Amino acid sequence: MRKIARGSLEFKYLIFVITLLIGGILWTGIISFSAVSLEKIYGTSLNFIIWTVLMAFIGVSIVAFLFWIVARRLVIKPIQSIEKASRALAEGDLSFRINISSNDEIGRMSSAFNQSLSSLGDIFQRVSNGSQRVKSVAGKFEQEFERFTENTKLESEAISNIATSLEQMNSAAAEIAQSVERLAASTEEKAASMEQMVSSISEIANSSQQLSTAVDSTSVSVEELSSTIKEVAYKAEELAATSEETLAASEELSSSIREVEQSAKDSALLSDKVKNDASTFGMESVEKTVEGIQNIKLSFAKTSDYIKKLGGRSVEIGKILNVIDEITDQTTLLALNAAILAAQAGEHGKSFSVVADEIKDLADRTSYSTREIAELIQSVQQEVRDAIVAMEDGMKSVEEGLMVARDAGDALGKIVETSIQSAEMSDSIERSTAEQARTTRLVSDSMEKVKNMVAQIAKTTQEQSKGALHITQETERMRDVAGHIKTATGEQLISARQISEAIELVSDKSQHIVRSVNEQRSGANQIFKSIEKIRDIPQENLERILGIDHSLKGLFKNTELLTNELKRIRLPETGGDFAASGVIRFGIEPAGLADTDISAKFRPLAEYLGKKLGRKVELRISSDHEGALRDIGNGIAHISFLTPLTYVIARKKFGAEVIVTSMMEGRSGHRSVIAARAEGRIRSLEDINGRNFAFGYRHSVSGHIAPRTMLLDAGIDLKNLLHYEYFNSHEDVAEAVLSGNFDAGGLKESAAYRYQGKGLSLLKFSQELPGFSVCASKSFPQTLKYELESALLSFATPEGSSVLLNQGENFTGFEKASDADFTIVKDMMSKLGMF
Amino acid sequence: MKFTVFKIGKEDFGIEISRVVEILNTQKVYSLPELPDFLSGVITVRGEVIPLLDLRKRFGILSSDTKELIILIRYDSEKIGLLVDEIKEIISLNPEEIIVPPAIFKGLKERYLAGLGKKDEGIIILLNIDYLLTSEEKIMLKEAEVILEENAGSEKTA
Repeated sequence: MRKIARGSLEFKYLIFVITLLIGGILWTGIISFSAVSLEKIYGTSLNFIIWTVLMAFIGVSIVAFLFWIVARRLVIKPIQSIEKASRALAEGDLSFRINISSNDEIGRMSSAFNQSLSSLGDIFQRVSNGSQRVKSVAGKFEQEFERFTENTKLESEAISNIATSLEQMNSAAAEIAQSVERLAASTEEKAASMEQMVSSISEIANSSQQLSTAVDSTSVSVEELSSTIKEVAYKAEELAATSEETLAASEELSSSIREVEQSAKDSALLSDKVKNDASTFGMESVEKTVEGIQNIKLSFAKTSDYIKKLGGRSVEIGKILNVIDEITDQTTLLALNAAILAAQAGEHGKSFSVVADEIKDLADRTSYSTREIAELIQSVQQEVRDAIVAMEDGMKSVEEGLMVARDAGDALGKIVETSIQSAEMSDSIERSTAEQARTTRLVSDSMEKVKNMVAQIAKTTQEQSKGALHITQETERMRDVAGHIKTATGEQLISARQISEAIELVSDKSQHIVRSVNEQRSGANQIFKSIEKIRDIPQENLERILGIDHSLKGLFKNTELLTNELKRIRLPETGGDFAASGVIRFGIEPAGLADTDISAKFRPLAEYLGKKLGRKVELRISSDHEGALRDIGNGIAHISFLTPLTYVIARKKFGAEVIVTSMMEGRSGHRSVIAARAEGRIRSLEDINGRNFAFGYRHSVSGHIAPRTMLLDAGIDLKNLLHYEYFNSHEDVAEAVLSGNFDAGGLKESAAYRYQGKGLSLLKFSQELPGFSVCASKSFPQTLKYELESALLSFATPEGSSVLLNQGENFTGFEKASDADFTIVKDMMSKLGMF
Repeated sequence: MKFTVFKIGKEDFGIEISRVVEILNTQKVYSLPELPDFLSGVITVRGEVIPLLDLRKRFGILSSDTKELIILIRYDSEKIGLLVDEIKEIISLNPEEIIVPPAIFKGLKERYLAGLGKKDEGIIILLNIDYLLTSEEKIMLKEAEVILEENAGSEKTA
């Protein structure tokens, strides 16, 4: 059996019916009791019936009254308030809320009604936003269209202007064609007369050409004659000069021959003398010298022998001396012993002692003189050695002298030989020079004769040359005249031809002109026709534009109507529904994270805030940067977790207010880094020029705005990069750079440090940048703001830290922030033209 | 009194002539294994083996002289050879010419010193040869002489 909830409407109805049943039964009992007594008294039945009816009426009335009271309490009032709400809804008032706190179907229905109202409010909010955007777009579109229409009108005018000017041009062209045709006719006439003139000039030119060639050939033969005469004269002169030179030379030759003859004679005499002297005196004296030196050598050798012998003797003497020395020593010893013995013998030994003393004296003296002799002998030996050395030196020089003397002898022998030869040669020279002298004299004589003959030739050729010169001059003059005539006629002919050609050209040209003018005319006609057509097109365009304009206006009007309609709908005030629902919607900008990740990451924070604030906190994950902006802007999100960039824009556009910024690893700020591969060629920011660059999330300051500003500061604009791309996360940037697909990249420092060990080199750090921040929408109540702030700030306490752990590895807490903390981001954005 | 005067280094020494047996030229010195250290070796004089004492070593005087002579002296009942630089002469000294060594010489081995003889401006150190050897040395000398005699005996029998 179905259970009926206590307090539900059905339950209430059941109780009512039961009460009614009991009342009815009781009442019927009373009635039937009264009926028994009525049978007894039939007469009074009418009264009884009246009474009964009256009683029944009263009972029914009471029951009906009770029913009315209960129904009014349970059903009618709530339904009336629902009706009121529906009417308000029908009138477009979405701010209306049913205030029924009962727990029955009607209560639930009204709360569902309230919920649908608020979500309807949301939808209408968005519709309103949308329609406003449509309106503004339509407005812009209309403006554009108006401009376009004006332009089309202008275009149309311009085209008709072109058409009229084309017509004018066409008629002008026709005129030109006519006049050119006239010109062509006259030039043709001129051309005919010019041709006649040219032919007559040609004839003159031909005859003068013939004359010129005749003169030329004459001139040539005269020139040849003249040149041969000149050559003869030149040769004769040369011959004269050479014969004279030859003569002089032969005279010189004969004189030198005479000198040779004389010197040959002298040298023969001299050689004879030398020969005699050398063979008689020279050789003799040389031989004597040699002999003398050899004698010296011999006597030297003998002396040397003697000295050596002497040396030997002195050595022997030395030996003898040694013997004497030994004997003396012995004697001394004996004398001493004798003296000792004598002393021991006492008086008996006295005379013996005297003898012993004398012996000792003698021995001493002998010893002394032997020592002297030894010294003498030693000096003798030294001298002998010196003498031997000196003798050997002497022998050497004697031998050298001998050698020199022998050389001198040889030399003398050679001198004698050569002097004999030279004497012979001188003789032969003398003989041959005598012969030479005779022949030279003969040559001189004949040369003399040649000279005379040449002089005669020279004289005659000179006369000849003079005559030839005259002829040449005359012919030269003649040739000049002929040449003049020729060139003059030639020139005349050329100019005549040129004139003729020019006339022909003029004729041709004028015909061309006529043709082209005609073509032009037909072209112009065509253009005219097409212009006519074109003229129609803007007209059509204009009509169409007017149509579009019409529909646009309709659209605009409709949008306005829609807006007005929407205006009539009273939307729930943003933020105002905290009181009603108590729900805080917490918007999250995804910033390159996947949705599932985000809800996993932020749910603990939302739960924590919900607990702290005593309200429900709903996560609202925006689709992207734009979505996050829109949500905070129109109050769909009451508070939002935004990138610094998004916050700055939200502040500017929608007056959003920053509450706290997130701290990363205990630091409130962090830096952005430009990094490259450590092995790559990028060593400084300047090297990045013309290369690939990886940016992080497009709306991230550390991944995009700060690296781009650093690049710009280094003189590198986006257009200076070969290629660039935006990546979703800092880690993706690091991987892209390490893979070598990108030469460098921008990312936040914590990620950069993690990849530093894997070969990432950090080139440049930015200033400290603010991190992600939690912001409140403009309409967020001030009191709640304070509560939210203290809840977020206490997030770093040990109690909250377990929640924090799920917040992503970097976030360690929150810190109070103001808009001034974001000045650096604004500066960067304005530098990049984004703010 | 007469003294044989000899030279060691630059000093003149005198020995009473009555103790001198003979003056000998240097001759071959034999060294024997069992001889005491203070003896330089032994020499043979006319078949007699005599121990040799180098006086230069004993007095600690370094002599540059290449010449050397041996004075053969009587010592107790035995003979002993003294190795010296040069024998100068035999002189006789009157008792007034001999003086008792002054106290300053007491640092030296006083017992060697019999006195100082003055002669021609120079001083001759007069030796008391009985004290040339210590009593131990004397005993050792005796023992050595016994060995020498035995050796001589064995040499003869061989």
